[in-house]
Amino acid sequence: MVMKKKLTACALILCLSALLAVGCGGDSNTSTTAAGGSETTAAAAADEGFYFELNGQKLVPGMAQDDMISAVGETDNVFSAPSCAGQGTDYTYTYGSVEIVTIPNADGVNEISTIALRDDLASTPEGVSLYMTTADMTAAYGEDYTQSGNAYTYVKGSVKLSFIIENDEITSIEYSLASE
Amino acid sequence: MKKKKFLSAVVIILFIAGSLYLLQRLVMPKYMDDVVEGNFIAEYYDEEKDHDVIFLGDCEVYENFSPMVLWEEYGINSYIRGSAQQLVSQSYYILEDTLRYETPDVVVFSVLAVPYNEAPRESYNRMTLDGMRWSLSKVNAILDSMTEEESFLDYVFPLLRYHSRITELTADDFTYLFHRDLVSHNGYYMRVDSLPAENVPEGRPLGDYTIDAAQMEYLDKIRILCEENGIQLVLVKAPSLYPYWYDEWDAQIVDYANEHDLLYVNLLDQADEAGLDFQTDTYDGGLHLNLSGAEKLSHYFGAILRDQCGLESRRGEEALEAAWQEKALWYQEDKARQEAEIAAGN
Repeated sequence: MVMKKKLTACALILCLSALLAVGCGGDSNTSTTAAGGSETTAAAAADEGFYFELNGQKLVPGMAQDDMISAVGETDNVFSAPSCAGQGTDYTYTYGSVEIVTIPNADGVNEISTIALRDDLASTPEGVSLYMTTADMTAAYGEDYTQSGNAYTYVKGSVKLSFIIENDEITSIEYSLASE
Repeated sequence: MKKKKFLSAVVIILFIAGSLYLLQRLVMPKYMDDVVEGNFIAEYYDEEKDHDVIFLGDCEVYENFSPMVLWEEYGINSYIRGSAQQLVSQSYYILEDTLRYETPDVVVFSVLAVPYNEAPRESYNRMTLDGMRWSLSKVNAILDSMTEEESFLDYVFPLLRYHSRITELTADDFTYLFHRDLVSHNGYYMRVDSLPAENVPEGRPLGDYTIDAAQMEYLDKIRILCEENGIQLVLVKAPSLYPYWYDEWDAQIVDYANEHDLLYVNLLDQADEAGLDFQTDTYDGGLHLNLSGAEKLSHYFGAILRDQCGLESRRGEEALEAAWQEKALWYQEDKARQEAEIAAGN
Protein backbone atom coordinates (compact mmCIF):
# COMPACT_ATOMS: atom_id res chain seq x y z
CA MET A 1 0.00 0.00 0.00
CA VAL A 2 2.84 2.35 1.00
CA MET A 3 4.73 1.43 -2.15
CA LYS A 4 1.67 2.14 -4.24
CA LYS A 5 1.35 5.59 -2.65
CA LYS A 6 4.99 6.28 -3.41
CA LEU A 7 4.62 5.25 -7.01
CA THR A 8 1.60 7.49 -7.33
CA ALA A 9 3.64 10.32 -5.83
CA CYS A 10 6.40 9.65 -8.35
CA ALA A 11 3.95 9.71 -11.21
CA LEU A 12 2.53 13.00 -9.94
CA ILE A 13 6.01 14.52 -9.65
CA LEU A 14 6.80 13.40 -13.17
CA CYS A 15 3.58 14.84 -14.58
CA LEU A 16 4.26 18.08 -12.75
CA SER A 17 7.79 18.21 -14.13
CA ALA A 18 6.48 17.66 -17.61
CA LEU A 19 3.80 20.31 -17.16
CA LEU A 20 6.34 22.74 -15.78
CA ALA A 21 8.61 21.95 -18.66
CA VAL A 22 5.86 22.73 -21.11
CA GLY A 23 4.55 25.76 -19.36
CA CYS A 24 7.60 27.51 -18.04
CA GLY A 25 8.34 29.47 -21.15
CA GLY A 26 6.62 30.93 -24.10
CA ASP A 27 9.53 30.04 -26.33
CA SER A 28 8.30 27.83 -29.08
CA ASN A 29 11.47 28.00 -31.17
CA THR A 30 12.65 24.69 -32.49
CA SER A 31 16.04 23.89 -33.86
CA THR A 32 14.93 24.93 -37.29
CA THR A 33 13.93 28.41 -36.19
CA ALA A 34 16.62 31.03 -36.10
CA ALA A 35 17.13 32.84 -32.86
CA GLY A 36 17.45 36.59 -32.91
CA GLY A 37 17.01 38.54 -36.09
CA SER A 38 15.37 41.78 -36.93
CA GLU A 39 12.38 42.86 -34.94
CA THR A 40 11.46 45.73 -37.17
CA THR A 41 8.67 45.30 -39.64
CA ALA A 42 6.27 47.87 -40.87
CA ALA A 43 7.39 50.10 -38.02
CA ALA A 44 10.55 50.87 -39.92
CA ALA A 45 8.55 52.19 -42.81
CA ALA A 46 6.49 54.41 -40.56
CA ASP A 47 9.30 56.27 -38.85
CA GLU A 48 10.95 59.35 -40.24
CA GLY A 49 14.20 57.70 -41.22
CA PHE A 50 15.99 57.52 -44.53
CA TYR A 51 14.09 55.84 -47.34
CA PHE A 52 14.72 55.01 -50.95
CA GLU A 53 12.24 55.70 -53.70
CA LEU A 54 11.68 53.19 -56.49
CA ASN A 55 8.91 53.50 -59.08
CA GLY A 56 7.48 56.28 -56.94
CA GLN A 57 7.21 54.00 -53.90
CA LYS A 58 9.02 54.44 -50.60
CA LEU A 59 11.16 51.50 -49.60
CA VAL A 60 12.96 51.05 -46.30
CA PRO A 61 15.00 48.27 -44.73
CA GLY A 62 12.75 46.23 -42.46
CA MET A 63 9.83 46.37 -44.90
CA ALA A 64 8.24 43.00 -45.61
CA GLN A 65 9.26 41.45 -48.92
CA ASP A 66 5.64 40.92 -49.93
CA ASP A 67 4.87 44.59 -49.28
CA MET A 68 7.87 45.58 -51.35
CA ILE A 69 6.76 43.46 -54.30
CA SER A 70 3.22 44.78 -54.01
CA ALA A 71 4.60 48.30 -54.10
CA VAL A 72 7.18 48.11 -56.87
CA GLY A 73 6.16 45.00 -58.77
CA GLU A 74 7.92 41.78 -59.73
CA THR A 75 11.29 41.53 -61.47
CA ASP A 76 12.76 38.74 -63.58
CA ASN A 77 16.16 39.28 -62.04
CA VAL A 78 15.92 37.42 -58.75
CA PHE A 79 18.66 35.39 -57.10
CA SER A 80 17.70 33.09 -54.26
CA ALA A 81 20.26 31.93 -51.75
CA PRO A 82 18.94 29.24 -49.43
CA SER A 83 20.68 29.35 -46.06
CA CYS A 84 22.50 26.23 -44.97
CA ALA A 85 20.30 23.67 -43.27
CA GLY A 86 16.94 25.11 -44.14
CA GLN A 87 17.20 28.33 -42.20
CA GLY A 88 15.25 30.32 -44.75
CA THR A 89 16.24 31.88 -48.04
CA ASP A 90 17.83 35.21 -48.82
CA TYR A 91 16.66 36.86 -52.03
CA THR A 92 18.38 39.45 -54.17
CA TYR A 93 15.95 41.41 -56.36
CA THR A 94 17.48 43.56 -59.05
CA TYR A 95 15.36 46.35 -60.44
CA GLY A 96 17.52 48.00 -63.09
CA SER A 97 20.01 50.09 -61.14
CA VAL A 98 18.82 48.99 -57.72
CA GLU A 99 19.57 45.78 -55.84
CA ILE A 100 17.37 44.82 -52.90
CA VAL A 101 18.28 41.97 -50.58
CA THR A 102 15.67 40.39 -48.33
CA ILE A 103 16.42 37.99 -45.50
CA PRO A 104 14.16 36.05 -43.12
CA ASN A 105 13.41 37.68 -39.77
CA ALA A 106 13.01 35.76 -36.51
CA ASP A 107 9.52 34.69 -37.58
CA GLY A 108 10.72 33.43 -40.94
CA VAL A 109 9.19 36.34 -42.84
CA ASN A 110 11.51 37.90 -45.40
CA GLU A 111 12.19 41.61 -44.94
CA ILE A 112 14.36 44.08 -46.79
CA SER A 113 17.87 43.87 -45.40
CA THR A 114 19.69 46.19 -47.79
CA ILE A 115 18.93 48.45 -50.71
CA ALA A 116 21.97 49.19 -52.85
CA LEU A 117 22.47 51.39 -55.88
CA ARG A 118 24.34 49.60 -58.68
CA ASP A 119 25.12 52.47 -61.02
CA ASP A 120 24.61 56.20 -61.45
CA LEU A 121 21.28 55.84 -63.19
CA ALA A 122 19.70 55.70 -59.75
CA SER A 123 20.07 58.30 -57.04
CA THR A 124 18.93 58.83 -53.48
CA PRO A 125 15.87 61.06 -52.91
CA GLU A 126 18.38 63.71 -51.81
CA GLY A 127 20.02 63.55 -55.24
CA VAL A 128 23.24 61.65 -54.55
CA SER A 129 24.36 58.88 -56.90
CA LEU A 130 27.43 56.74 -57.52
CA TYR A 131 30.60 58.42 -58.81
CA MET A 132 29.76 61.74 -57.12
CA THR A 133 32.21 63.22 -54.64
CA THR A 134 32.56 63.55 -50.88
CA ALA A 135 31.52 67.17 -51.19
CA ASP A 136 28.31 66.12 -52.98
CA MET A 137 27.57 63.71 -50.16
CA THR A 138 28.14 66.23 -47.38
CA ALA A 139 26.21 68.89 -49.28
CA ALA A 140 23.21 66.58 -49.29
CA TYR A 141 23.56 64.92 -45.87
CA GLY A 142 25.81 67.17 -43.80
CA GLU A 143 28.82 66.33 -41.68
CA ASP A 144 27.08 64.21 -39.08
CA TYR A 145 28.44 60.89 -40.22
CA THR A 146 30.61 58.21 -38.67
CA GLN A 147 33.61 57.02 -40.62
CA SER A 148 35.12 53.56 -40.63
CA GLY A 149 37.76 52.99 -43.26
CA ASN A 150 36.27 54.16 -46.54
CA ALA A 151 32.72 53.91 -45.23
CA TYR A 152 30.73 57.00 -44.24
CA THR A 153 27.53 56.26 -42.38
CA TYR A 154 24.54 58.43 -41.59
CA VAL A 155 21.74 57.25 -39.32
CA LYS A 156 18.22 58.62 -39.36
CA GLY A 157 15.38 56.85 -37.58
CA SER A 158 15.91 53.13 -37.86
CA VAL A 159 17.75 53.34 -41.15
CA LYS A 160 21.43 53.68 -41.84
CA LEU A 161 22.70 55.09 -45.12
CA SER A 162 26.27 54.14 -45.96
CA PHE A 163 28.55 55.54 -48.62
CA ILE A 164 31.87 54.06 -49.60
CA ILE A 165 34.23 56.60 -51.03
CA GLU A 166 37.44 55.74 -52.83
CA ASN A 167 39.68 58.47 -54.25
CA ASP A 168 36.96 61.03 -53.56
CA GLU A 169 34.46 59.08 -55.63
CA ILE A 170 31.37 57.39 -54.22
CA THR A 171 31.57 53.70 -55.14
CA SER A 172 28.74 52.34 -53.03
CA ILE A 173 25.45 53.61 -51.62
CA GLU A 174 23.54 51.28 -49.39
CA TYR A 175 20.55 51.46 -47.05
CA SER A 176 20.29 49.01 -44.16
CA LEU A 177 18.84 48.81 -40.68
CA ALA A 178 20.65 50.94 -38.14
CA SER A 179 20.53 48.06 -35.66
CA GLU A 180 22.64 45.80 -37.87
CA MET B 1 13.42 1.12 8.46
CA LYS B 2 15.98 3.86 7.70
CA LYS B 3 17.59 1.66 5.08
CA LYS B 4 14.22 1.04 3.46
CA LYS B 5 13.51 4.79 3.36
CA PHE B 6 16.92 5.45 1.87
CA LEU B 7 16.39 2.82 -0.81
CA SER B 8 12.97 4.24 -1.64
CA ALA B 9 14.46 7.69 -1.98
CA VAL B 10 17.16 6.35 -4.31
CA VAL B 11 14.55 4.55 -6.42
CA ILE B 12 12.45 7.69 -6.64
CA ILE B 13 15.43 9.85 -7.61
CA LEU B 14 16.53 7.33 -10.24
CA PHE B 15 13.00 7.14 -11.58
CA ILE B 16 12.70 10.90 -11.87
CA ALA B 17 16.16 11.27 -13.40
CA GLY B 18 15.43 8.50 -15.88
CA SER B 19 12.11 10.01 -16.81
CA LEU B 20 13.64 13.43 -17.33
CA TYR B 21 16.36 11.86 -19.44
CA LEU B 22 13.76 10.15 -21.60
CA LEU B 23 11.77 13.36 -21.84
CA GLN B 24 14.92 15.19 -22.90
CA ARG B 25 15.68 12.64 -25.61
CA LEU B 26 12.10 12.88 -26.80
CA VAL B 27 12.01 16.66 -27.20
CA MET B 28 15.47 17.13 -28.70
CA PRO B 29 15.35 17.70 -32.47
CA LYS B 30 16.11 14.55 -34.46
CA TYR B 31 17.19 16.23 -37.73
CA MET B 32 16.02 13.20 -39.68
CA ASP B 33 13.30 14.72 -41.81
CA ASP B 34 14.53 17.76 -43.67
CA VAL B 35 17.37 19.46 -41.81
CA VAL B 36 19.62 16.41 -41.76
CA GLU B 37 22.71 18.61 -41.43
CA GLY B 38 22.06 18.62 -37.67
CA ASN B 39 23.33 15.03 -37.49
CA PHE B 40 26.64 15.45 -39.29
CA ILE B 41 28.85 16.23 -36.31
CA ALA B 42 27.56 13.31 -34.22
CA GLU B 43 27.86 10.74 -37.03
CA TYR B 44 31.64 10.96 -36.91
CA TYR B 45 31.85 9.21 -33.55
CA ASP B 46 30.49 5.95 -35.00
CA GLU B 47 33.28 5.85 -37.57
CA GLU B 48 36.42 3.74 -37.54
CA LYS B 49 38.92 6.53 -36.89
CA ASP B 50 41.86 6.01 -39.16
CA HIS B 51 41.47 8.87 -41.62
CA ASP B 52 44.20 10.31 -43.81
CA VAL B 53 42.31 13.56 -44.31
CA ILE B 54 39.83 15.47 -42.16
CA PHE B 55 37.89 18.35 -43.71
CA LEU B 56 36.74 21.18 -41.46
CA GLY B 57 34.33 24.00 -42.21
CA ASP B 58 30.82 24.90 -43.20
CA CYS B 59 28.63 23.86 -46.12
CA GLU B 60 31.52 24.67 -48.45
CA VAL B 61 33.10 21.39 -47.37
CA TYR B 62 30.19 19.10 -46.66
CA GLU B 63 28.38 19.90 -49.90
CA ASN B 64 31.32 20.11 -52.28
CA PHE B 65 33.65 17.18 -51.60
CA SER B 66 32.87 13.49 -51.90
CA PRO B 67 35.08 11.23 -49.73
CA MET B 68 33.76 8.32 -51.82
CA VAL B 69 35.55 9.64 -54.91
CA LEU B 70 38.70 10.34 -52.91
CA TRP B 71 38.68 6.73 -51.81
CA GLU B 72 37.74 5.10 -55.09
CA GLU B 73 40.09 7.13 -57.27
CA TYR B 74 42.98 7.88 -54.93
CA GLY B 75 42.68 5.45 -52.03
CA ILE B 76 42.42 8.41 -49.64
CA ASN B 77 40.42 7.68 -46.49
CA SER B 78 38.77 10.97 -45.56
CA TYR B 79 35.99 12.36 -43.39
CA ILE B 80 34.25 15.73 -43.45
CA ARG B 81 33.65 17.22 -40.01
CA GLY B 82 31.53 20.00 -41.39
CA SER B 83 28.39 21.64 -40.08
CA ALA B 84 26.05 24.42 -41.13
CA GLN B 85 27.65 27.84 -40.70
CA GLN B 86 30.52 26.35 -38.73
CA LEU B 87 32.36 29.25 -37.13
CA VAL B 88 36.16 29.36 -37.27
CA SER B 89 36.32 28.94 -33.51
CA GLN B 90 34.08 25.89 -33.78
CA SER B 91 36.33 24.41 -36.47
CA TYR B 92 39.22 24.79 -34.05
CA TYR B 93 37.42 22.99 -31.24
CA ILE B 94 36.17 20.29 -33.59
CA LEU B 95 39.77 19.74 -34.64
CA GLU B 96 40.75 19.48 -30.97
CA ASP B 97 37.92 17.02 -30.48
CA THR B 98 38.99 14.98 -33.51
CA LEU B 99 42.51 14.73 -32.17
CA ARG B 100 41.16 12.91 -29.13
CA TYR B 101 40.42 10.02 -31.46
CA GLU B 102 42.91 10.17 -34.31
CA THR B 103 45.67 12.17 -35.95
CA PRO B 104 45.14 12.54 -39.69
CA ASP B 105 47.97 13.31 -42.11
CA VAL B 106 46.17 16.28 -43.59
CA VAL B 107 43.52 18.72 -42.37
CA VAL B 108 41.68 20.63 -45.09
CA PHE B 109 40.13 23.82 -43.75
CA SER B 110 37.58 25.85 -45.71
CA VAL B 111 38.42 29.54 -45.38
CA LEU B 112 35.05 31.07 -46.28
CA ALA B 113 34.08 31.62 -42.66
CA VAL B 114 37.31 33.47 -41.83
CA PRO B 115 36.48 36.82 -43.44
CA TYR B 116 32.72 36.36 -43.40
CA ASN B 117 32.68 36.35 -39.62
CA GLU B 118 28.96 35.61 -39.43
CA ALA B 119 27.27 36.35 -36.13
CA PRO B 120 26.55 33.13 -34.26
CA ARG B 121 22.97 31.89 -34.58
CA GLU B 122 21.43 29.60 -32.05
CA SER B 123 20.01 27.19 -34.60
CA TYR B 124 23.41 26.71 -36.23
CA ASN B 125 25.19 26.55 -32.89
CA ARG B 126 22.87 23.77 -31.86
CA MET B 127 23.47 21.78 -35.01
CA THR B 128 27.22 21.94 -34.45
CA LEU B 129 27.53 21.80 -30.69
CA ASP B 130 24.78 19.38 -29.65
CA GLY B 131 26.38 16.74 -31.84
CA MET B 132 29.78 16.98 -30.14
CA ARG B 133 30.58 14.53 -27.40
CA TRP B 134 31.26 16.09 -24.03
CA SER B 135 34.87 17.15 -23.55
CA LEU B 136 36.73 20.32 -22.65
CA SER B 137 36.70 21.12 -26.37
CA LYS B 138 32.92 21.07 -26.41
CA VAL B 139 32.71 23.21 -23.28
CA ASN B 140 35.05 25.79 -24.81
CA ALA B 141 33.24 25.65 -28.15
CA ILE B 142 29.96 26.42 -26.40
CA LEU B 143 31.43 29.23 -24.30
CA ASP B 144 33.08 30.77 -27.37
CA SER B 145 30.12 30.68 -29.70
CA MET B 146 27.01 31.08 -27.57
CA THR B 147 24.75 33.98 -28.49
CA GLU B 148 23.73 36.42 -25.76
CA GLU B 149 20.33 34.76 -25.54
CA GLU B 150 21.77 31.30 -24.97
CA SER B 151 22.92 29.81 -21.70
CA PHE B 152 25.53 27.15 -21.04
CA LEU B 153 23.08 25.24 -18.88
CA ASP B 154 20.79 24.81 -21.89
CA TYR B 155 23.55 22.80 -23.54
CA VAL B 156 24.15 20.69 -20.45
CA PHE B 157 20.43 20.04 -20.06
CA PRO B 158 18.90 20.48 -23.52
CA LEU B 159 15.50 19.78 -21.96
CA LEU B 160 15.59 23.34 -20.67
CA ARG B 161 15.88 24.59 -24.24
CA TYR B 162 13.60 22.21 -26.07
CA HIS B 163 10.83 21.60 -23.52
CA SER B 164 8.34 23.55 -25.58
CA ARG B 165 8.68 21.04 -28.41
CA ILE B 166 6.57 18.67 -26.29
CA THR B 167 3.53 20.12 -28.06
CA GLU B 168 5.11 19.79 -31.50
CA LEU B 169 6.32 16.20 -31.44
CA THR B 170 6.16 14.17 -34.63
CA ALA B 171 6.47 10.47 -35.36
CA ASP B 172 10.21 10.99 -35.94
CA ASP B 173 10.67 12.01 -32.31
CA PHE B 174 9.53 8.56 -31.22
CA THR B 175 11.12 6.60 -34.07
CA TYR B 176 14.53 8.15 -33.43
CA LEU B 177 14.34 8.33 -29.67
CA PHE B 178 17.42 6.11 -29.26
CA HIS B 179 19.08 6.01 -32.65
CA ARG B 180 19.54 7.90 -35.91
CA ASP B 181 19.81 6.60 -39.45
CA LEU B 182 22.95 7.50 -41.34
CA VAL B 183 22.36 10.73 -43.26
CA SER B 184 25.79 11.62 -44.64
CA HIS B 185 28.50 9.89 -46.61
CA ASN B 186 31.54 10.38 -44.36
CA GLY B 187 30.19 13.85 -43.67
CA TYR B 188 29.27 14.56 -47.30
CA TYR B 189 25.72 15.77 -47.93
CA MET B 190 24.61 14.25 -51.20
CA ARG B 191 22.26 16.15 -53.51
CA VAL B 192 21.65 14.92 -57.03
CA ASP B 193 19.20 17.60 -58.17
CA SER B 194 20.24 20.49 -60.33
CA LEU B 195 19.48 24.20 -60.54
CA PRO B 196 21.60 26.33 -62.90
CA ALA B 197 23.38 29.40 -61.58
CA GLU B 198 21.61 32.52 -62.83
CA ASN B 199 21.57 36.15 -61.78
CA VAL B 200 24.32 35.59 -59.22
CA PRO B 201 24.92 39.01 -57.65
CA GLU B 202 28.35 40.59 -57.76
CA GLY B 203 29.92 41.51 -54.46
CA ARG B 204 29.24 45.07 -53.41
CA PRO B 205 32.17 47.27 -52.38
CA LEU B 206 33.06 47.08 -48.69
CA GLY B 207 34.32 49.92 -46.54
CA ASP B 208 37.02 47.73 -45.03
CA TYR B 209 38.29 44.43 -46.36
CA THR B 210 40.56 43.66 -43.42
CA ILE B 211 39.83 40.25 -41.98
CA ASP B 212 38.91 40.45 -38.32
CA ALA B 213 41.93 39.79 -36.07
CA ALA B 214 39.98 37.44 -33.81
CA GLN B 215 39.10 35.30 -36.79
CA MET B 216 42.71 35.19 -37.91
CA GLU B 217 43.66 34.23 -34.39
CA TYR B 218 41.52 31.10 -34.60
CA LEU B 219 42.96 30.28 -37.99
CA ASP B 220 46.34 30.58 -36.36
CA LYS B 221 45.27 28.29 -33.53
CA ILE B 222 44.20 25.69 -36.09
CA ARG B 223 47.59 26.00 -37.79
CA ILE B 224 49.51 25.67 -34.53
CA LEU B 225 47.46 22.68 -33.41
CA CYS B 226 48.16 21.00 -36.73
CA GLU B 227 51.86 21.81 -36.44
CA GLU B 228 52.04 20.41 -32.91
CA ASN B 229 50.52 17.17 -34.12
CA GLY B 230 52.54 16.82 -37.29
CA ILE B 231 49.51 17.43 -39.51
CA GLN B 232 49.76 19.21 -42.86
CA LEU B 233 47.19 22.01 -42.96
CA VAL B 234 45.68 22.81 -46.35
CA LEU B 235 43.53 25.90 -46.79
CA VAL B 236 40.83 25.73 -49.39
CA LYS B 237 38.24 28.05 -50.91
CA ALA B 238 35.44 26.02 -52.44
CA PRO B 239 34.24 26.99 -55.91
CA SER B 240 30.87 28.29 -54.71
CA LEU B 241 29.79 31.41 -56.60
CA TYR B 242 27.92 32.87 -53.63
CA PRO B 243 28.49 34.22 -50.98
CA TYR B 244 30.89 36.49 -52.84
CA TRP B 245 34.60 35.94 -52.28
CA TYR B 246 36.50 39.22 -52.54
CA ASP B 247 39.97 39.42 -54.09
CA GLU B 248 41.04 41.49 -51.11
CA TRP B 249 40.15 38.63 -48.76
CA ASP B 250 41.87 36.15 -50.99
CA ALA B 251 45.05 38.22 -50.93
CA GLN B 252 45.09 38.11 -47.12
CA ILE B 253 44.66 34.33 -47.10
CA VAL B 254 47.39 34.00 -49.71
CA ASP B 255 49.70 36.14 -47.56
CA TYR B 256 48.91 34.07 -44.49
CA ALA B 257 49.54 30.82 -46.35
CA ASN B 258 52.82 32.12 -47.75
CA GLU B 259 53.93 33.39 -44.36
CA HIS B 260 53.40 29.98 -42.79
CA ASP B 261 54.34 27.85 -45.78
CA LEU B 262 50.84 26.40 -46.13
CA LEU B 263 49.19 25.09 -49.25
CA TYR B 264 46.22 27.28 -50.17
CA VAL B 265 43.98 26.15 -53.02
CA ASN B 266 41.44 28.62 -54.36
CA LEU B 267 39.13 26.27 -56.22
CA LEU B 268 36.96 29.18 -57.30
CA ASP B 269 39.79 30.19 -59.61
CA GLN B 270 40.23 26.58 -60.73
CA ALA B 271 36.58 25.71 -61.33
CA ASP B 272 37.05 25.49 -65.11
CA GLU B 273 40.15 23.37 -64.69
CA ALA B 274 38.16 21.06 -62.43
CA GLY B 275 35.58 20.77 -65.21
CA LEU B 276 32.74 22.37 -63.27
CA ASP B 277 29.75 23.63 -65.21
CA PHE B 278 27.48 25.82 -63.12
CA GLN B 279 24.57 25.08 -65.43
CA THR B 280 24.57 21.43 -64.40
CA ASP B 281 26.84 20.93 -61.38
CA THR B 282 25.01 22.90 -58.72
CA TYR B 283 21.69 22.18 -57.06
CA ASP B 284 20.94 25.66 -55.76
CA GLY B 285 22.06 28.16 -58.35
CA GLY B 286 25.78 28.24 -57.57
CA LEU B 287 25.95 28.11 -53.79
CA HIS B 288 26.68 24.41 -53.49
CA LEU B 289 27.63 21.62 -55.85
CA ASN B 290 25.38 18.69 -56.57
CA LEU B 291 26.70 15.15 -56.76
CA SER B 292 27.97 15.59 -60.29
CA GLY B 293 29.86 18.74 -59.27
CA ALA B 294 31.18 17.30 -56.00
CA GLU B 295 32.49 14.23 -57.81
CA LYS B 296 34.25 16.36 -60.44
CA LEU B 297 35.75 18.57 -57.75
CA SER B 298 36.86 15.61 -55.65
CA HIS B 299 38.49 14.03 -58.68
CA TYR B 300 40.40 17.30 -59.18
CA PHE B 301 41.21 17.89 -55.52
CA GLY B 302 42.23 14.28 -54.90
CA ALA B 303 45.08 14.73 -57.37
CA ILE B 304 46.23 17.77 -55.37
CA LEU B 305 46.14 15.79 -52.12
CA ARG B 306 48.08 12.98 -53.76
CA ASP B 307 50.64 15.10 -55.60
CA GLN B 308 51.13 18.03 -53.23
CA CYS B 309 50.50 16.40 -49.87
CA GLY B 310 52.15 13.10 -50.68
CA LEU B 311 49.18 10.96 -49.70
CA GLU B 312 49.57 7.41 -50.88
CA SER B 313 46.75 5.14 -51.90
CA ARG B 314 45.49 2.78 -49.23
CA ARG B 315 43.50 0.69 -51.67
CA GLY B 316 44.04 -2.93 -50.92
CA GLU B 317 43.97 -2.57 -47.12
CA GLU B 318 41.47 -5.25 -46.26
CA ALA B 319 39.57 -3.57 -43.45
CA LEU B 320 39.32 -0.29 -45.31
CA GLU B 321 38.23 -1.96 -48.54
CA ALA B 322 35.46 -3.74 -46.65
CA ALA B 323 34.32 -0.58 -44.90
CA TRP B 324 34.25 1.45 -48.12
CA GLN B 325 32.45 -1.32 -49.95
CA GLU B 326 29.66 -1.00 -47.44
CA LYS B 327 29.72 2.79 -47.74
CA ALA B 328 29.56 2.47 -51.54
CA LEU B 329 26.31 0.54 -51.25
CA TRP B 330 24.72 3.30 -49.18
CA TYR B 331 26.15 5.92 -51.55
CA GLN B 332 24.58 4.24 -54.58
CA GLU B 333 21.36 3.60 -52.70
CA ASP B 334 21.04 7.26 -51.67
CA LYS B 335 21.84 8.39 -55.20
CA ALA B 336 19.27 6.01 -56.72
CA ARG B 337 16.62 7.05 -54.20
CA GLN B 338 17.10 10.74 -54.95
CA GLU B 339 17.10 10.14 -58.69
CA ALA B 340 13.89 8.15 -58.39
CA GLU B 341 12.30 10.97 -56.38
CA ILE B 342 13.29 13.49 -59.05
CA ALA B 343 11.95 11.21 -61.78
CA ALA B 344 8.69 10.91 -59.85
CA GLY B 345 8.53 14.69 -59.67
CA ASN B 346 8.87 15.00 -55.89
